[in-house]
Amino acid sequence: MRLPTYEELANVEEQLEVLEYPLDESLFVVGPPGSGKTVLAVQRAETVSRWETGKSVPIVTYNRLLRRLMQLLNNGGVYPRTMHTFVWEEYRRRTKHPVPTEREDSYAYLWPEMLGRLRRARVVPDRPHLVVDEGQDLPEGFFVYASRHVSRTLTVFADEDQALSRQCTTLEQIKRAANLDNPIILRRNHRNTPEIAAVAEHFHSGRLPAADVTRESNGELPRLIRSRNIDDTAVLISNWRQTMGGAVGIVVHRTQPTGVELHQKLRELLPRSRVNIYQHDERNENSTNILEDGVTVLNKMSVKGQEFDSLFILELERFVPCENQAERRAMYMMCSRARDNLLLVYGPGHLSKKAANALPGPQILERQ
Amino acid sequence: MTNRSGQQPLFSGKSGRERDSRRDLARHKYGWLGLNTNHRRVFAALEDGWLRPLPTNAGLLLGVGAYAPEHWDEGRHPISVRLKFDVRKLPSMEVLALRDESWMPCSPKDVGPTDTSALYWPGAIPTFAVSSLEVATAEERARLSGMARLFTNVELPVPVTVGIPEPTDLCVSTPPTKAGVGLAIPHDADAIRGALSMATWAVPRIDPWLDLLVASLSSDQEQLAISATKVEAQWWRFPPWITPCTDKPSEELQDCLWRAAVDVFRDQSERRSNCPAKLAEKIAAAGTHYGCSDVEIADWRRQTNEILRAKSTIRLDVWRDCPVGMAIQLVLTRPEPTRFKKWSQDIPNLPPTVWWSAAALCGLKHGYRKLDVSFRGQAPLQEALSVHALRTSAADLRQLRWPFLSGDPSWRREANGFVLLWGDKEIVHKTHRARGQWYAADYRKKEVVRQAKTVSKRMKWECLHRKIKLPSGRLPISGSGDVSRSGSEIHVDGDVWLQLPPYINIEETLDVESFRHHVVVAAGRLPVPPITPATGVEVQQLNIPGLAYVPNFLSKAEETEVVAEIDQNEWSKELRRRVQHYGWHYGYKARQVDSTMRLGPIPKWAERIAQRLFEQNLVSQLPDQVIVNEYIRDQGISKHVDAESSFADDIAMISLLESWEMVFRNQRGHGRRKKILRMERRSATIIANEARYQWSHEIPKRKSEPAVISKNTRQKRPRIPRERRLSLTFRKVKSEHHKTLGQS
Repeated sequence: MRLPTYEELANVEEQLEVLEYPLDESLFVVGPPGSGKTVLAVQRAETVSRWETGKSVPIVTYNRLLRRLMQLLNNGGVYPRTMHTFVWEEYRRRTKHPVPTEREDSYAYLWPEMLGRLRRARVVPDRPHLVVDEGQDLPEGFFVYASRHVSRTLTVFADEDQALSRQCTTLEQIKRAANLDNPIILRRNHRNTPEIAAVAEHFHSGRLPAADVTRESNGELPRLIRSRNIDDTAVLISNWRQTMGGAVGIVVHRTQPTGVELHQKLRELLPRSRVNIYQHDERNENSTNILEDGVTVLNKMSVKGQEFDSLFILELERFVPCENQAERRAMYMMCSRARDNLLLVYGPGHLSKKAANALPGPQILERQ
Repeated sequence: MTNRSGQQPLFSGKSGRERDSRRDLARHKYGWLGLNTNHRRVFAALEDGWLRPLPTNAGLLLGVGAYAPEHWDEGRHPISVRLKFDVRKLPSMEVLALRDESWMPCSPKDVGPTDTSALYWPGAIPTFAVSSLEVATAEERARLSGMARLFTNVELPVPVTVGIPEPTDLCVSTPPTKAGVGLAIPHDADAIRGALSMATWAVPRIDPWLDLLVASLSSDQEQLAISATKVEAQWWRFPPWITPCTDKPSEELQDCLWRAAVDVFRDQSERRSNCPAKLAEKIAAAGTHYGCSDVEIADWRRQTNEILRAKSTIRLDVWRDCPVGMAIQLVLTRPEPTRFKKWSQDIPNLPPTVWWSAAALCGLKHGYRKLDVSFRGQAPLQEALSVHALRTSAADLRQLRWPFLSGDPSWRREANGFVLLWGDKEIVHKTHRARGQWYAADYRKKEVVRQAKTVSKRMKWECLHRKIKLPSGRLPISGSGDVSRSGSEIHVDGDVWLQLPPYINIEETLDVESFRHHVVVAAGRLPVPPITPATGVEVQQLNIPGLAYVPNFLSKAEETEVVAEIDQNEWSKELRRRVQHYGWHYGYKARQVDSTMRLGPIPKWAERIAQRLFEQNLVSQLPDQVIVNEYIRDQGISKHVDAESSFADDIAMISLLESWEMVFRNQRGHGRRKKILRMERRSATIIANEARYQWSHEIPKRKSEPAVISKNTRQKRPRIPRERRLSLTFRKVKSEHHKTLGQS
């Protein structure tokens, strides 16, 4: 993930407003992918922790890889946790009791029961600040809990449009539950080139308008590439990485078996470079250094919140045509992970007519 | 009341308190100029290097020994920042000073001790003159520093202080007349400063290249041509920061491509369009304009397009055909300096000429404003390049005198590397690299020549002469050909067979001049030459293959900085001595690392050291794990061999705070030979191969260390009590340990 120059933000009033926001006030920020939420979240937590010297500021998110990214971005003082880890640790610390959950699902918390116990035990907020990223993925109950019993000052970042889990919370619910003011709305996309944003927007269907792109064109249209086999794909990616450098992301539908096979081949082709695979079930995010240049293979769920200089979406035939809103949102989210170059790869067979029609036209997506 | 020009005085009000503070100031030799402005103005100035006047004004109003308010509110939560400028860092130029309630011309250096309350600065003021940044509260300081940490192109020149300003009612308005020559920053200055910064950052640290850098910074055309020829980079007769005075066409492809790329990358309007393929097209078109053949340039364009489409990759083996073309390709594929920098790792054997030319073009294309602070250098370098960029980009500002920067650029060798000077001011220090050390090596030494021969063979450099000495007398000759001698050659015509006696050997001699020339220009990654330490034990006398020792590897300032960083972090009490782990955790019980032990990237201070070890070729791969060991008084480490398979072959140890001895013992062979290396404070010791696997090493557990050996004394050596030594061990975890769990 790239940090901004001042020049890039100098004319982006709402970004500056978030950065300039007084540290002792709660803040609610809503923005589309690429508007810099994760970086702003880490920056705010770090700045608060330096101001409140010695106190670490928790930063809570839904996804483990995102938590890892935050850990890598921050220089100390920030305490990145997934929501589940945070709630379990924090609730036990304050009540000496385990979190009450549904019998079959230890992730389904019984919020009313939890809030009742905390209220009866008169647990008052004792943390200077709490920062939440990807707030739309956290349950409503969490925000009530956080504002009443964790910290009086909350900073919440959210984006309704890319919610993946079914249990998503709307912006209105977050605002009400956490007792926040109206959000500052980030409208600019700082990540994608206009060319990439155009492909992503083709799949856009949210309530908020798609973000304005601030980056300049690099003159490179995203490309649709047919690959005969996995060896061809591996050579293409390896040439790309050797020439352009930077962080290359490869999204596969499922890491087994394509991702694993490709990972093996790329390791052979790129002996000098970092080549990692991220597998959700293996919980191996700690051995993946996403910020280092190199190649990362991951699936649709894990790519969320990440950013790559070049992104290859493989097995395109499994992602398009989109059957429903959730699938469209997923395509939108995936495409908008790419900073400079986006390459959509399918094959060996042809795309179905329906799939081909679901893609943007050749003036937006170059056919190769 | 009127002033000399017959205008109404513009000054209003002056408190007694202000008069007092001015009297205080008069006691100091130098004064300061003050401005109270908005934090956004400060960031815009810091990224650019210049605080420019507000859009509505032609100059800046500055208080003398007080802060003049700049009424500029931006944002809902502005932070008022009070800036002090040090007048010694400002040029000698005519400004207007408010004296006795009227505006009068004066020089900034005269403002301190005189009765001046405000000053009108015509144009922009350099941010390197900022000597203090003050805000009102700790919360504001946290926000200001927090933002500065985020922006990659901004670094606060001094730490922010918190203070309550003295209330002044300094309230002046713009003088009626325009002040003399204004300090207007030309458009080109940003591109030029970008090129200067990247070129200084990337300069190959070998004497002829430093000569070329210095010549390109001076305006000595003749010297420039000589230096450029010496390194076979004739196109450097046209440094990117000098507008060529001649439009004379050239037939040389390299010259044309270079001048075309400089024109295209320097052009402000081109810098907006980033499409690499289109830029290649423009460069090709401009190159034809400079006079080279269409065929050659079309060939380069076709090749470049294939690379940009990932159909092929940049080929190092043909770099000699078109070094400038390759340099441009490196920039077009990775225009962002932070990504460009990685070429040195991805193609570690890039020839210096391609690397340096590309870096300068990359800086020119990218400019200074957006440039990451890691390329900007420390304050003295920034000051010099800022002034130099201004001088080279604007003819009317060339005569402007900057008292703190006079004389011409030059460089000189020092113990641990090089220093670049401007006049007698040191502006940047750089440590040695392998090539620079080979260039300066002492070829009278047998070991140096022996290793130079090995390098020549490995690199396939043609600098070995094979000779045979024919014995006097008669030699049998056969074959149908003829042999005749003329002057210093013999001519052989047809098949000639000479039968030599068995004792004749082919002798291989090193052509030292040719070898040194290859060191300057050829591609390849060189190992370090045999190092002769300046002090302490002669490592060569130790004669342990695979052991390298570099005294003064870190400077004193670096040592202080690193120790401070380490002491801020938490120590692990896993062992009797305190340790810190970075990059990967090391399990002392299992004596290994595995993929679950990855801690993340090593911190910046450690990365800088790792980078230096790698760049000086002391280690073969960039280290990614650091263990800090703290030894207090009689603590030590018992005899051991670093045999773990988790790590790459070479291990580097940096010694800090005290100079202690390390004992090496040969584990194999007859007679356990014992050798002692005194590891000087701030030195680097590298063990690989035999030194690592056949020799054990230990730090004896004892209370004192012998003082430095002086050769001529037979007295008992005095001993110095031990206090605290820090040792940093740098290793590279082998890549199979990066393998993820799913794979193992």
